[in-house]
Amino acid sequence: MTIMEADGLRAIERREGQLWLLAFFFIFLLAVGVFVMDSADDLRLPAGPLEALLSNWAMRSALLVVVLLICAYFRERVKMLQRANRTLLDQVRQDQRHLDERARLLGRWGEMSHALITNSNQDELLELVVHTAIEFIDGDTASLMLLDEGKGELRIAAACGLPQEIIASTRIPVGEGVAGFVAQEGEPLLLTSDGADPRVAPQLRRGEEIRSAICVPLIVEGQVVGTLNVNRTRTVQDFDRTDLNTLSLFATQAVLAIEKARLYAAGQQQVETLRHMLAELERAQAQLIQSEKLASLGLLAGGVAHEINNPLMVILGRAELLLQDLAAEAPAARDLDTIRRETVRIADIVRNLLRFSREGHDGAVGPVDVNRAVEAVVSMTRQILSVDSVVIDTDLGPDLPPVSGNSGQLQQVFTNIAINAFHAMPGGGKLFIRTTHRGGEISVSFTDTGFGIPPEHLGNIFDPFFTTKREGKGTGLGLTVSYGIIRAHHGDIRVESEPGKGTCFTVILPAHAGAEALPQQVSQGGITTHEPPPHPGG
Amino acid sequence: MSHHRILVVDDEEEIRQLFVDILVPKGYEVIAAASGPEAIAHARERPFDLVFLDIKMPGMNGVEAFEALRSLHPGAHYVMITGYAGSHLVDKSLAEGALLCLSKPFGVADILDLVRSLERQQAAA
Repeated sequence: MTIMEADGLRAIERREGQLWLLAFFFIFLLAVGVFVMDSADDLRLPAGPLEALLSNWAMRSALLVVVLLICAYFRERVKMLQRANRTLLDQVRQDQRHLDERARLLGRWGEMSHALITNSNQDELLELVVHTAIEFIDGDTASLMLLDEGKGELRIAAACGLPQEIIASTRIPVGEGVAGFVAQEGEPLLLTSDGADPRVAPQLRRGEEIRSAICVPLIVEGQVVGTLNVNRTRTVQDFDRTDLNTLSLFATQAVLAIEKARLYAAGQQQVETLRHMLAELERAQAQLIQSEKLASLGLLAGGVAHEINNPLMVILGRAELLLQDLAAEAPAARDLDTIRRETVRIADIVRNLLRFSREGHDGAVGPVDVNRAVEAVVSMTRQILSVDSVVIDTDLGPDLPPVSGNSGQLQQVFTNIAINAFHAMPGGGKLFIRTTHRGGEISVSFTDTGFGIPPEHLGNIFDPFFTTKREGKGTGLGLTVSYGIIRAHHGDIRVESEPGKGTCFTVILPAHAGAEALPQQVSQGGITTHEPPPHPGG
Repeated sequence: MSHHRILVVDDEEEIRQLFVDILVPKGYEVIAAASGPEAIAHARERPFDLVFLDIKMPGMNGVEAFEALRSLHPGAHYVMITGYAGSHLVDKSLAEGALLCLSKPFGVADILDLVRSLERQQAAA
């Protein structure tokens, strides 16, 4: 029945009342008329049994009374009917309101179901569940608690109308309090203001401001995973069994969506972990390939170095002997000097190559102050290159722990990178060297404003003999050697570059952890001195 | 004219000849040996002031030759020569009293500077 129909009913009821009033009035007029007729002789009724009856006073009075009684009876009857009618109407209206409310809730339920199913964000979903629970059963505050199985306690995962500090700090052990009881028993609980459930009464006293509460368990595959709690604090009316049933029904649906979102999040997490592992694997593979290249190179270098160094020594020596005999300005002197210089260059290449076969076993190993090494390199680079157009700026991290390694080798790496940076800025620029320390790792970054490295070259820059420098400027071994040295120090070199903007080389080294002693051996090529032993003869 | 006697031991003819051509014009007496046993044979005849010894040689290596020669002439200076500085033999010879180790290739000046400084040291003693 609609409101319009109800209004129509009321109008009919009104008109019915008016009709009855009209009827009483006519009957009354009739009765009065009978009396009047009796007293007027000219209007006397024809003789007969009725006239005889009416002509009797007593009978007339009795008739009037009867008529009045009948009128009163019908009046009362009408009133009664009207009351019944009104009660019925009120009932219809109430039912109408209930139906409307049910229809609205059903609509919201449908919306909620859709939202629950489609939402995969766990936090948003929990918020939605809490707000909808309040809406469904007219609560004032609500919270959704999830069970931490490891600790056996409930924590608030989402809430509405509760202070943030309570949300953050609340921990309810299973078995304690209202939620703890529900989590333990797996049964919903209805608490009203007139008498709390005796099973949890002592705990409810804590929240004096709560007038009435419902707590329902969230159950997945027979296991309680949490509780949904809705409270009334301001609303005077208590929750009832209908509210309890509504919330229980809602909880069964909500928990499915929560579980779905949890599985989705776990899946996402696994995908993320796998992606991370894959990236790590790719990195490790790239490092392995690079290390393999270095190892093969080292092996090759070790094998041929001896064979190459002998002829080099002969060429160098012969060229120098000839140079001694020639006047400096003689035409052949220049050629001989070129032979000498180029021989020295070959010797340097071989020496660099040889380092690989010795990396990790070579040189004094101990704690190295990276900041001091960088300062030494900066000072040396300035002197050697004497380039005014390149500005070197440093930002050396304070309290930098030392790294474990060979100071000379690390300086060689820093020098190689610094020189590369200078070569990348023929028209001038800025080299910014920064040292930082985080979580047991020390980073030394060299950022230049040079011409950068094309993306297609980035994968090759550590390869032996890879160079983009013009002939004679680089051997193509500087970065290969550097990479070998840093790998031997258990570190890594990372490169980022943007053509036209600059390059950033970052050397990452593990911090020194205790005394890590490696045998001290001959390091540099060339002359290795040793103090003469005491002469036996004095 | 110096009377410094120098023994050069290397299996490579060109290297031996280079030492001869560098040192003889400067007035040093240079004896060249192609192997350890040949060097020992020379040393038995007369003592040397300075011995250049290649480490890697077929048969008797430079360190073994050094040990034999030193037992004959403990007062001489022994300088090891190597084409490959990473060898443990270098450490062994240095530990047993070799003066120093030269990594090939090295120049004329390196050889002459070394010989002259040893000569001065000996003269001072």
